[in-house]
Amino acid sequence: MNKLRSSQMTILLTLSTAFSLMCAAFPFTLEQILGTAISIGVQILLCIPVLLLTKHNDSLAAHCTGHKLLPLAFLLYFLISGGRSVVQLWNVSDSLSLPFSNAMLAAALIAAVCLYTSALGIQTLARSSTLVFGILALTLLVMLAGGYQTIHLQELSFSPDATIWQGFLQHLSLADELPVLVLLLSFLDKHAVKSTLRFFGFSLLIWSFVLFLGITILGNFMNHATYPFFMITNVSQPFRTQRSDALYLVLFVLLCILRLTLLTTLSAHLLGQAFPKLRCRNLICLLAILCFAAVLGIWNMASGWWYIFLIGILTTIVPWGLLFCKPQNQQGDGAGNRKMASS
Amino acid sequence: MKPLRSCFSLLLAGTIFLSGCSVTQVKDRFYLQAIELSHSRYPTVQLHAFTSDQADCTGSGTTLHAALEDAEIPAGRELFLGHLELLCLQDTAFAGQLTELLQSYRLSSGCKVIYTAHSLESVNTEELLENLKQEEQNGRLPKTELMTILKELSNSSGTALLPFCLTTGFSLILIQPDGAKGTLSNEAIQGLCWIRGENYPERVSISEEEQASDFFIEHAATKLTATVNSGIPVVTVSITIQGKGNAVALREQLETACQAAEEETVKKYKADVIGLEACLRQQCYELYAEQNWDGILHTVNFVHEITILTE
Repeated sequence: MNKLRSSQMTILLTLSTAFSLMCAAFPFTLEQILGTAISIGVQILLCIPVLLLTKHNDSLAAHCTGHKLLPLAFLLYFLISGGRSVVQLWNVSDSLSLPFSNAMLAAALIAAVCLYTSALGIQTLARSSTLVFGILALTLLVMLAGGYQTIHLQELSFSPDATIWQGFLQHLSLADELPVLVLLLSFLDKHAVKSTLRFFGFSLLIWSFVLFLGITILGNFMNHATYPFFMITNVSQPFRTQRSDALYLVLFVLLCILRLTLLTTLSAHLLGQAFPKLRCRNLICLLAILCFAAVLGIWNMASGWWYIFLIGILTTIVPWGLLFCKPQNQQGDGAGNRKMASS
Repeated sequence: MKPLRSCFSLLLAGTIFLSGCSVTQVKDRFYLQAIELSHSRYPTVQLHAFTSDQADCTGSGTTLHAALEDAEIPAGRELFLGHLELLCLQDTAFAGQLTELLQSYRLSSGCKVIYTAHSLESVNTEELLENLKQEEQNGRLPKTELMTILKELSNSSGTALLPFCLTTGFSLILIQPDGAKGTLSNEAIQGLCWIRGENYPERVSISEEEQASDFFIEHAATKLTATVNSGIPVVTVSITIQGKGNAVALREQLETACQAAEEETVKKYKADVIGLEACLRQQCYELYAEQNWDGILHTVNFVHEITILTE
């Protein structure tokens, strides 16, 4: 695996969280904004152990080499997370009027693009993500331009049907990026803390911005929106002669491909660490993701608060364990590889 | 080269396969300017294309979707409602299906919705729409569109304000999916323009004892604030106007118009079409959460603070 620049890691994670936001299937409320802010604060706290690990010139990747349990645990989570993303994509596209007649063909094309992109490696993906980040920024600006006239600040109020706690749990259960962050930090040369904090800053900004637009533009009509993001896009049409649906759809597909590719690439990397001689790892991981998607879809397990426990274990408990169990006579070489200290 | 290839593959997948160009050509679609919905029990739709002087084709079926599908046959092309400008309802029951229409047919949220008691089969709906827009621009009707109507229907009152198409022009009607509640007087309509504060007239005719005069408005703004006084919600409507003319007479006229609007909508028909619920939820949350909505509408008091700045 190649090294990543800190800005590339920030962008990759931000785009991944933007996909979760687009697929959010709960009403946007003021409580949700506060819950999101608290959730991001808690996520920063959860990341302290892995940042400490990085500060000690150690990383998860270093501990994965030559072991099976640790990479397989993360691999399993990434496959579940990938399956969850496929289910989200399927559910959202089911409730939107998309301009394709064969859903299976579209899904196969997306899978083919994911396979191709993941074969190119994480650095290629990271470089492409800059372009997608530009499209995301443009889309948010178009949303603002289209909805600006219909913003009613009086709609920004508490709702009797929502709680901050609920908003907090809903946001935290979607924080699939945290285990990804734990692994991606292994590929950073420097600025791990800065890059992590920048990601959380972007995440808070994008979530708050879209939630704010949703509340002030849709008002009480929010309760009728299965996917509030797409309901906002229905309203935010700034161009008189041309609908902006294509832009929103292109962004949605790009974010989905990027997220699936990221998870496939990382899964393939972990699989390679557990079984170095195994070939066609990207294909195996992508197929496994599709299998998990089928299982999660059939058993309706693509969303739930139990994801928080998995995220907590992989993001906090595992790095804490690595910090405490680190043998005294071993230290990192500054590049994420452990070596024996010369006595 | 690798990143470039990757970017291109991502873009191609997104743009070619999801742009819709590969599925339907422009000439294969029937772009609708207006549709008219009647008979909710056995829905009938009348379709008006752009630049048509009258209805182009009709269709009917057991459901609205079936009726639209039926209308595709005489149209000979796939219907496209994404650029629809006018939606005419002959039956209030269709108000309950507006959300579904918005989501299924990608209606524009800025599409105008009107209520009509007679068929618009031989009416040029583009001209009708221009008339409606002109009425709104002159501040003679409050501005309404699909999204404002959907938001009003989602409020606790569940009542929406719609322009009512008459043979002589437009009036306003309050509707619910289960029926029309009533039409509003001209005075109430003027009052609603001022209270809703989305579009104002540029000129107000003032009837005085000897002769009528005009008040020319340069700038106007409306703000609703709410307080609770001994358990009773008090909503203050603050209107600030800058212009030229008889300020005293204008103030009296606005007071009367605003009172008429509040009496007819809130008190008589128990309808919230002035953003009352959002205002109370934001500024008097405890009262809003504790009391039932009908009780609040019954007890709410209005105070008017009209500030007129003349040169």
